[in-house]
Amino acid sequence: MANKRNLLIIIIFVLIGAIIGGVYYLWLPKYYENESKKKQLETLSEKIKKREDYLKRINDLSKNLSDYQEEISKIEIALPEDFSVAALFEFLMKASSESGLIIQKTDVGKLYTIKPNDSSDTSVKKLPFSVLLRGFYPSLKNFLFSVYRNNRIIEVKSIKLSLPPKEESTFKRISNLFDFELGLETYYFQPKVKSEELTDKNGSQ
Amino acid sequence: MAIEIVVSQKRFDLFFWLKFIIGLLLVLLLILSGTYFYFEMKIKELSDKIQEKEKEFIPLEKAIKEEQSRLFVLEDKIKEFGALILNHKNILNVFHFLEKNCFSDVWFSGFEFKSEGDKVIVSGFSNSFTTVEQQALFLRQQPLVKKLEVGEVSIEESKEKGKNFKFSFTITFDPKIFNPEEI
Repeated sequence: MANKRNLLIIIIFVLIGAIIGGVYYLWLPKYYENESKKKQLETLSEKIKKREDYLKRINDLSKNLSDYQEEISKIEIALPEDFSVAALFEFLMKASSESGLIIQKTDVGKLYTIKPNDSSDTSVKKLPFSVLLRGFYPSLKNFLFSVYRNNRIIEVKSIKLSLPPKEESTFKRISNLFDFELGLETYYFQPKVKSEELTDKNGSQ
Repeated sequence: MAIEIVVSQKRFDLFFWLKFIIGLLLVLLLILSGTYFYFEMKIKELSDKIQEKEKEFIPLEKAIKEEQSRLFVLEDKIKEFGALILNHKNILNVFHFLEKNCFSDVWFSGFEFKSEGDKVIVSGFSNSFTTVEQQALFLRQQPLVKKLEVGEVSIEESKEKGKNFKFSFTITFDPKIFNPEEI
């Protein structure tokens, strides 16, 4: 009788030990793992929702921008991502001949020395060049007008207007004939790599 | 007849209680085992869901990056274009200004402009010193002229043109003159 009682008590202790050990070493870790996975899924779902909203917002922004496609195209032409010296030359030749000016000299050497990966804060890279023209004053105005009306931005950085040297004229010196030394600058765009996010008007992401 | 008195005694049945506790502990063990396997199953299910979400996240991030970089480039380009346009100097306005504000007996033979600073150096001729002086005074009175300095004035004589006064003006303009919409 006493043996049976002792056996039952031992069984109870073994069971209690098994329960405590099981809870501590098996059940609780699984419980915490389950809770952490739940939280992880919740956070991920929330993050995905936020990113989906963000993508929707930037897609809407893109759609809004497509209403200004014409203006954007103009900017793309004005500030191209590649520069063609040949196209620039062609424009200079055309504009000068249409304006009634003769190109005496051009200096586009700097255009070739500029490295495309030139690192600077701005995405806009300058391309300076100069041209010496000969002609009459109204022709210069026409030429400048063509330069300003050109689709690609060309900035006039300097102008020097002077009478041509006497020894260069084989004929009788024509009055009102000038030499125009123009320092010009054009630009091209080199995109920068950005990592930050776009923000809307309220600054939220 | 003998009367037997039986005392009703509720005995504490130790065996019953020990067996009851064992039963209870076994039920508890069973519940714990059950929930353990439930957690095991749930964790697997959640892990699969997380993996699915992560898979969903990669193309989403890619799409965002692509759209973002396209917009960044465009934003930057618009900004830079705006800055260039804002700093654009229209030198034709200076020519129009000089044509409008110069006397008929004053003609120019030289012109120098540098976009840094808003200075223009003009040199020319006139038939009298008084005209040069009046011309300088008239130009100084113009609101777009901030400062005018008269450089050297000399007399040049030639058979073809006779006596002429050579002069040079250094004119500092109000930056407004270079605005495309001005004048």
